[in-house]
Amino acid sequence: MATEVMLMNEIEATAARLGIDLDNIDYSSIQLPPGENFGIISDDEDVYNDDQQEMDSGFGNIIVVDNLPVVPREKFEKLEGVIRKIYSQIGVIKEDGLWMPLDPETQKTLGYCFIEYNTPQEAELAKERTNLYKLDRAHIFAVNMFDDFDKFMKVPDEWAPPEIKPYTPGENLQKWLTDEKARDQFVIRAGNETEILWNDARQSKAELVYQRPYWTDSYVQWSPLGTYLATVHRQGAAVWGGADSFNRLMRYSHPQVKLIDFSPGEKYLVTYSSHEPSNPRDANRVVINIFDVRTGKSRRDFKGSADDFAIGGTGGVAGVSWPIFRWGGGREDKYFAKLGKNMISVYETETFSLIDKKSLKVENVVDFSWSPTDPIIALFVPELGGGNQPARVSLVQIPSKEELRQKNLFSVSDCKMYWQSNGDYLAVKADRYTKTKKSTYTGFELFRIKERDIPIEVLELDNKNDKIIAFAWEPKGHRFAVIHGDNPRPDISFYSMRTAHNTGRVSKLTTLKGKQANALFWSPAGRFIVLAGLKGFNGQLEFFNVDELETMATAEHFMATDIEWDPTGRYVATAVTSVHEMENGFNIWSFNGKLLYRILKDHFFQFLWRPRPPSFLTPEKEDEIARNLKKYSKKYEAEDQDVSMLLSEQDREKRRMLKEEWEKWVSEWKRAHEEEKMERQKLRDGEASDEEEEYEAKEVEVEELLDVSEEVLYEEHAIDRSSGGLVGINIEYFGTDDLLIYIAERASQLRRLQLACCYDISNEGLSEAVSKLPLLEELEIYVSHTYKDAIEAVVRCCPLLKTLKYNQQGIRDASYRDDEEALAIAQNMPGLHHLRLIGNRLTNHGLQAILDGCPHLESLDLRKCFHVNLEGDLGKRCAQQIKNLRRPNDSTHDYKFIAEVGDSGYPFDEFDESDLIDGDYESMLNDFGGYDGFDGYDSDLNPYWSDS
Amino acid sequence: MKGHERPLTFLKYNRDGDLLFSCAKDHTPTVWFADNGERLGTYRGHNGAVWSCDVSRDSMRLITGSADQTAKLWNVQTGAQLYTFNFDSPARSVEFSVGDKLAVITTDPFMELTSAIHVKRISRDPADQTGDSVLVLKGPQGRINRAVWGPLNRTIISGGEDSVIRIWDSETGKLLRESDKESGHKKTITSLVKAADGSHFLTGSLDKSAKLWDSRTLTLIKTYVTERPVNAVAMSPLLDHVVLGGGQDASAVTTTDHRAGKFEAKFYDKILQEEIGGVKGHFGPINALAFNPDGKR
Repeated sequence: MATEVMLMNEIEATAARLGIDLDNIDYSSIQLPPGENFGIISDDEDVYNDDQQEMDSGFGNIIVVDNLPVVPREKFEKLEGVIRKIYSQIGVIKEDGLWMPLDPETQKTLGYCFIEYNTPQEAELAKERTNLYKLDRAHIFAVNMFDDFDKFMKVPDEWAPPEIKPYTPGENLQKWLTDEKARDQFVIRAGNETEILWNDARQSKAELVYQRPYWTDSYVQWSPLGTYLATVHRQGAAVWGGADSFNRLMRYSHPQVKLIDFSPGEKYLVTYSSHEPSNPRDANRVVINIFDVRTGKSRRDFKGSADDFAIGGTGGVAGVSWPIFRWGGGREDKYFAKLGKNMISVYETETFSLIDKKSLKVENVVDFSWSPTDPIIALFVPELGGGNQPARVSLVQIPSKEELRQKNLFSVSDCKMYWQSNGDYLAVKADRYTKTKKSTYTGFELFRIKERDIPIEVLELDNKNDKIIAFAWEPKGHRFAVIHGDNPRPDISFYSMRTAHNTGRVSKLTTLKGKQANALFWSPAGRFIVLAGLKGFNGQLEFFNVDELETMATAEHFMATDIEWDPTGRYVATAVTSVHEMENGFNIWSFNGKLLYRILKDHFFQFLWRPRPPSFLTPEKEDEIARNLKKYSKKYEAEDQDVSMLLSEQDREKRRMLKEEWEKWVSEWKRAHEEEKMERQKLRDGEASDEEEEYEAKEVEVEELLDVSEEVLYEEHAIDRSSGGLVGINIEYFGTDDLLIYIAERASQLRRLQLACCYDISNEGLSEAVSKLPLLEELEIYVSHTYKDAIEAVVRCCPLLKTLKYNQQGIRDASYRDDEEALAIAQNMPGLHHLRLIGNRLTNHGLQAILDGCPHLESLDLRKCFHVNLEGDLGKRCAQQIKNLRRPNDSTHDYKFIAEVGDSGYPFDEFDESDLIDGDYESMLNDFGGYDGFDGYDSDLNPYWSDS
Repeated sequence: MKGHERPLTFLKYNRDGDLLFSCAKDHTPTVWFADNGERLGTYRGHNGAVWSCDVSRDSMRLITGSADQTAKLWNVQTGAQLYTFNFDSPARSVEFSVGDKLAVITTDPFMELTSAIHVKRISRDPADQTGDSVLVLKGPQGRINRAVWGPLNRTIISGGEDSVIRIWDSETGKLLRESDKESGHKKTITSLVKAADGSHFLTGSLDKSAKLWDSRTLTLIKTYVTERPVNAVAMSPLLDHVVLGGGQDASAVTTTDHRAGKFEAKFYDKILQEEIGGVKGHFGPINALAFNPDGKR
């Protein structure tokens, strides 16, 4: 079916071909000739077949009550009255729906009767309620569904071996994991469409894998290991998957199914429905089925009144807390358990029956939770008898039902249990009454499950009256985060279960004060966390590195309702779902808070990353990879580089096309406008002036810049217009941190950056800017203060850097010697080809380091570096190693800027006119404030301006 | 600039860019010095919200269209009313033709009346002015939000609630072109603005997009996609920028946070169709936008 369904777009195409306007068709008015489907196979037929199976006999609403007393005619009516009374309490018996046959010979009843209800649900309920009902000691009812008789009668007397079907290899359901680009998938639901997409973060977009309209009647859900996508329909649930597409793999019949849940190892699927009672006094009837996911066979069903399934939960609200059955024992799907009145019913999946055939009796238990990895149940019993009997948390081993650890808690009003994902730790958050009982405060009981005797530690916050807003363990880790405080801006604290000396004590790592956050989202790989301000905070996001205890980025996804990390911890999705009217859609961020792309979709319902199964690698192998990450990442870095080059190439090409296309339009318009000139003039009674109608105004001549700020505008404007396609830029005199960062953000493809006399640009500003310029190949700095930190940032962020021109003003005074910059270059820039260090303060030591550290160096300019001495061996080595060497005392005639200052630091001390060309002299006299043009030097550095 | 007591509806610079005319839901169009924002004068006489205006090339005449079912001609300098065109329904959009001898005025659907586009002759001497229509165009469903002159006054371009852009022959009244479903807007066209030379025009729509069209052929050239219904559009006469102003109707604003309505003006690169910036700070939907003819403001 799945592949045969005609897609909406095909329908649209057909309609377009036939000239039919789909919007104006009343679909319900269409009548197909009987027996003709025009090749469109209806999904409904499938449904019919399903329904048919259910209702096959049409006797689903009849029960057979056996073990009735055998009575003579005289007592017939009395007995009938009793039976009617019992059974009409449960549901409405149809008119003539009670039939108690008589033995034609003896005229006595036969000891059984048939009862027909209006609905199968009532019949089911009657069977549940009255089977084994004791009318008196001798007559215990045996109640069965009429259909069951039929079913059991059909069982052949002789056993025939089941037909062995030939093995047909199934599809590779895990193929998505072998994606060459190691991408992850996610499913979204918006409007009527359900789409599965690749997250192609490298290309900053999502790529469609599969799309289907009306795929589910309510929602979709991935199985926990990502193998299946489950859909929910009126008739039941279905799972989908496959190597390249999404085919239906199995269906699970369960009429009116509302909720579904997979076991952690995705072996079983639990489905739930709730049905309105026919008698309004009764509670809803609940039906739960547990299916084997692969065979589709029902393994066990549970039926009963909603009350039976609504014990405990939170707040005592009459309702069922989902999932009713919680799975334990890790991924082997060995056990599942349900909370009952004064008991926890634990089932095992070998036989789908209660362990030891009885439930675990725990008086007044209100909550329990499984360890995520081990068959251990943590359960909570609240305080009883007004405080005479304290509240209690205990850990129970399954299947032995042995209590491993217990802790009594006094004056507790409420408890929440949080397992760490490896089952190493359990945190119990206990809200306690203060002495006056007027308010509560919160403490944590921390259990170390894997340690001997399970030690417990009590943790109270620095201010124990703080309200706890959120708590979250680091996945697979030893840390946890807590949002606490009563302020509008609460605090966030991080704790570790280990201290520096590993003494097994919990310790606080840090507290972040006054954050706009109310939810915590740890990366599944740990280490990184998103501190999110949802709801009242409108979608504030802070990406935080817990190893370094530093904020990586802050951002906002306005009105965000949902946040989910991808299973690898590389990306984060934030979504605004249809609970809001506006802004619907989702954003994809990198783990460190860079917005990668944004997709808007109206009526956005769901975003779910496709989970990944746990890695097949052994822990040793994982360790090895982590240790040699550099080696492994090389390949991917190279790929990233290629993609980014390709993208920028494509991007440039696209821009060029768009511009060309636009130029065509503009010239066409110009021509038409020119042609119509005379007529326009006529319309204006001869007035000729067209002069203001200049639509093409690209050449913005900024001839005389009045002040620095206007120049800045011009620059930003230039960046705007070239938006990212820019590959080189020069900034002189007026640059500021903000401008530089702005440029870096807008022009990430920048290959060449030149800063001259930009005294307002700080180390931090330059560092931040270069961190956004991964493709930078040339960096030139003229006459500035020292940028040692920034040089280090360049090293880190710009692997492609080949040319560094870092020029200062030389000072002869020996007290100005300083090798730090030289060493930074030497240690970190082995790929350097060209290095210009006019006026640097390095000594022979620094030079030696550079020669050692930069083997590819072809040209080296050491003019005005007065503290190096090239007389000796070092000089010889320089001459041999460097093709193009300029010595400290070489002329700086061709150098535009002041290359030397006197000992006082004032440039005029040894002022030599030959160090300058005219423009500089003027600008210098203008105190560097009013430089009036770019032209006049090194014009080959400026080719990038010529076309913009 | 502050002065109007009710939301602005329309802004228009004169040709020299030294005067800015503003219309608002209060009844009084106002003229301002463009450079310092000083109020120069008001045009009193309308008895309803004023939806749009246009000023003649010589900055002598102002025409305004109002919900009071009239369009009025004014003396720009004295503020005197020169003539009143009376209609049976609110007047929405007004524009002088090239040469200022004609004006196109749209009227809203009202009671049983459908919307209409009226062409009026504008006399050089107000004494000769009559209310006779040269041409009346009908047909579009719902309100026509804007109707402007095409090149050489040969056509009239209209757009409105039925989301279709139409080009009419201004002589015969014949419908020449219509935007198609594929490329056209999907929801109400809220605004329509021409390039300085009339060669192309930009439309904004509640379908959260703005589109750039060739005035002569009605070819779709560009589409600018945004996150908000577009209420107003403008094109820079100087740079390749377009500006979209948006937000939903004030009545549909559900939250108090001004960002919820995204009342921003967004700048797009006209050619690349990419967003290049935004101006925040509006506390209500943006209804009107205009560029100074010098392109710098």
